[in-house]
Amino acid sequence: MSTPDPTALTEPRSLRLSIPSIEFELSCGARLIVSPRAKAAVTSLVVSIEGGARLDPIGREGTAQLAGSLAVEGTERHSESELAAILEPLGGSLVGDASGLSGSAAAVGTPESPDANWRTLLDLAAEVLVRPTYPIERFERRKSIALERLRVDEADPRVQVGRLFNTLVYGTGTGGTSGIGRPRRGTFESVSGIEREDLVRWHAETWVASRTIIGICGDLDPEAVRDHLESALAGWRTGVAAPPIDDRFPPRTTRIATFRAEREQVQLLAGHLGIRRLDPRYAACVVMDHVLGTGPGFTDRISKRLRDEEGLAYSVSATTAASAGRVEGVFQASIATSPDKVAAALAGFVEEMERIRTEPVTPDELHLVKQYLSGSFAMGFEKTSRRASQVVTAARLGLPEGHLDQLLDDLMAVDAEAVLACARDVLDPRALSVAVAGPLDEGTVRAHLDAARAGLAE
Amino acid sequence: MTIEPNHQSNGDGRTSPASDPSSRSRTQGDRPAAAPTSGAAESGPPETASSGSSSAGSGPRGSCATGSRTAVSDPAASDAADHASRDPDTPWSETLERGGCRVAETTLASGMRLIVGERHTDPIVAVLVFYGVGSVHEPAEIAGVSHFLEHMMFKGTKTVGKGEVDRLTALLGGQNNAFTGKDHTGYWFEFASDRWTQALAIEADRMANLALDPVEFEAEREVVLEELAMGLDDPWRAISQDVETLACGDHPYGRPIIGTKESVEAITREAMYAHYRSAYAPSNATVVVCGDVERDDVLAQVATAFADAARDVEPLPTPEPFESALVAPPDVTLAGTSPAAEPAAEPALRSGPVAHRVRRTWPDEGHRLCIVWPGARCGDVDDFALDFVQTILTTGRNATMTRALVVDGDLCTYVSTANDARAHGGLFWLFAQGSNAAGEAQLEASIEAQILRLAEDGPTAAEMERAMGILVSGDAFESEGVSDVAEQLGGFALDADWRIALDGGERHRAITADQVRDVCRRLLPFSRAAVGWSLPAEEGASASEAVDTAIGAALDAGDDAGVEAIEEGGFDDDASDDRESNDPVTS
Repeated sequence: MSTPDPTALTEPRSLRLSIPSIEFELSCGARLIVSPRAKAAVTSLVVSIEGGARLDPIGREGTAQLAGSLAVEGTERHSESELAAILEPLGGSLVGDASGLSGSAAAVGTPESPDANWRTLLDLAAEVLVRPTYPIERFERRKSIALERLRVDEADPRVQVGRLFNTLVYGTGTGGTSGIGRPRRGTFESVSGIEREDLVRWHAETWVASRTIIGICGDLDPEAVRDHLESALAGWRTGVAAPPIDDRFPPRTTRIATFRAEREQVQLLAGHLGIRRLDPRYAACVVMDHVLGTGPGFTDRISKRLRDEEGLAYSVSATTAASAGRVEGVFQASIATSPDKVAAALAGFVEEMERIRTEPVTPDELHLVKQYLSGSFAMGFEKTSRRASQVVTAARLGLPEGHLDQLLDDLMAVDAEAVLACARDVLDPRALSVAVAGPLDEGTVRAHLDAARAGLAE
Repeated sequence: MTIEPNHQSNGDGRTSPASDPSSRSRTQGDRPAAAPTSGAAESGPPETASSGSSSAGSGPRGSCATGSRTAVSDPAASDAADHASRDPDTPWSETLERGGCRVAETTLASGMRLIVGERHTDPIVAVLVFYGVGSVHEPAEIAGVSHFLEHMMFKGTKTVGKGEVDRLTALLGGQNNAFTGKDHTGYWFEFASDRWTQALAIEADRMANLALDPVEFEAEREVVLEELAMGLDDPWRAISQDVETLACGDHPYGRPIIGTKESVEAITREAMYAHYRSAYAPSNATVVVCGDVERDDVLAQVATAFADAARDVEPLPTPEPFESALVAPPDVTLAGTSPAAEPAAEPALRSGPVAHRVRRTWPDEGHRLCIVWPGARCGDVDDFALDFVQTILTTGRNATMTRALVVDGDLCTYVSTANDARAHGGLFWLFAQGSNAAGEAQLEASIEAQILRLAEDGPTAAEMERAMGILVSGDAFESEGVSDVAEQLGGFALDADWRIALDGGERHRAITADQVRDVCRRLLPFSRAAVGWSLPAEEGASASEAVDTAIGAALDAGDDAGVEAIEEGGFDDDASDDRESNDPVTS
């Protein structure tokens, strides 16, 4: 019988990830990125419109989300049921949200028109982008559904803990802070105040070509896609650029918020502001994350300790890089655990944060993470939806051509000193904010946090 | 089993929940097919299986059932067909193809089944090992032992220590995961194609040498109990477990895969070891390898890796045939017969009160309805007909029930159905979140009206055509990743026949409108359903006993209403769009 052979695993081999793409600027001003993938069974579309929920008017949070989701419910040419009738038999869908549109269709054409499906998908997406009608009856129905769901969410600890945490870290959009911490779906009160005219206005002002990046991946001829969209989007208003992102955030210091709910477990998020994607420490941060709290598997310190050794939770993790975007993301440690284990969980988070800030990661840890990152780099990109999303996000972030190769090289160049420096800069257990939802009160949480940090050097 | 493609929009375009009853690890488990989740998990696929250990990555996608399936329900008949088509000069069965993946099967001398899918699009290989053991094989007093054992399979062997599976997987740049279901348990690896064979070494080792260290055993019990507590905080899981228990009675299908607090606490190392020794042997294993491989090489590698693993084991006890506690079993559709040719006796379609009701309260404003009917065995003709029912009723915005109740109506904010076919008999699920404007009776009546329309008139040609298009195109989405294909092959292999994962379109094309009508008549009257409501605390306490009467009245009035899909998730999904990198290393 075979047994695992670690000596067979010492040869590093990275899977370079190639996502070919061709970018065009359409006459209307939108950017188009086509990523051809031969023999792909699915065509996937991602449309990113600059702005989104961060531009929601104060007190009208949820406007961008409602405007996006309702855009697919009727155009000047097709009612929402007609749109569905065309798309659904293709296995197709078009979904709108605060950030724009996404869609897909099976790449199954007819012998006479083998590429009919992607053309249909693009035609309908273009209609939705340019000429949605926001029928009043559709607006009323969708708003009603949104409100009912928000009412249910008001008592859901898993929803509320996230909202609390975002507010702690990013602020509320008032008092000199940006609106990024506000809930994309809004609140019951804010959505209650949104009217159809708000959505029509929102679409007219923000869904414009100059703010738009269109990514599509499938078995496609890029020029044919460009030509098709040039026609389908003809006449779309170019508009003006979105206002710059407001990145005024509250200072990084400890804040605690709790949502009382009688449940079996406590949902806990602890963290603070993190880094941007273009931060030069990003690669070191990725490596640090994998040693500290994002795996792979249960190889990271926090999973190993809090789950495997102490049995505190089924689900526990900590990450910084995953939310690094155009603005600072968050360092976020999360756990769902029984109330009597919260003290141990917080102690574990704090101690492991401090350890990685003060002691170099071991050669074995560094080796394992690099092996994992290089070997798994290309995984997950079999699907066209992932590829379309990746090319659009890279464009939004302003990542240069060849950035994936560069990232892999950067990751492989990270050493223990770089991780230590990154951890010292980026992590600060003394500034942890903590959001808790469940059967605990704020005083108890504060006491647990104070106890966890008692041993930290000044 | 389920059919609703993962990508399909339900109502407002939100991804429909997949509905595989045996799903991957690392996500909370034990939720029935297609159940929405609350809160943070609300945008994700529901997971029925629970699991624990895992390694890098997200694991194979949950649905092993979205593909097509066939009417192969008689194992003897299936074997005969297999042997008849097999070339005597090759160990392989006939080759079938799906999504560019060429698949064939063979059986090793040890009894281990091997299914290989060759697809060279990407330099990636998925390796799954399935064991024919799940919660259905467990004694009630140690319910959850299969799932707990699955956790322990990552806790060390006599050869390698605790955590080594994850460490080796990471060093190889791979990903792993595991899942436990009602009928089977699966272990998954995904590796680059130059190193995939190490997965076999890991599996062969832990198939024979599991350590079950006492300290690790107790530590992991705590993890399982936390996982169980997590499930107890999920209102959908709670109500769906209620109705599943009602529907299944004493049959082990009615027990949660994860077990109960009492049963998990009662599991001893000795009991787990006995369970392991009886189930984890080549003769009870199916290995599936899909991706950038050559099948003869795979056969040689598997034969070598598991060369010393063969041993005699007492076969697992065959589970009792599933006979729902709700009603006598319906007329069973036998393999090779057609219910259209031999119509069953006319059941009463609206036959008074439902078989069983259950109510619970939950401390929020949600009006959650869960209905379950005894359904079809995986691979039976009824299984495929119920796929059509599910698609016609709730897949996509133009699905009839979704359209009537959600998109155009005002009775609920979400509705889904799931054909949860299992190896020994299945369930058909319906989940709806009622709106505040709708009474319970009104919503139930509207749901029944939709089903009655199919049972009385049958689906229209347009409805059949639409459903067929969705089912066929769903194959494209379900075959994008080699892990998806491998999981479907293994799941169907254990529950019915692996070929079901490959010739989907043909299997579904054989279903007629009359068969859909017939299956609704026989299987989906409310009189053979269990109905559960989870209500806000103050309403649940005073819930009316007169619901059935009111339903009848509403039906008479031709009431019709609707439901719409859930659209957002929990805390991870509610932040600014400006915080995402979508890099390979973080997504």
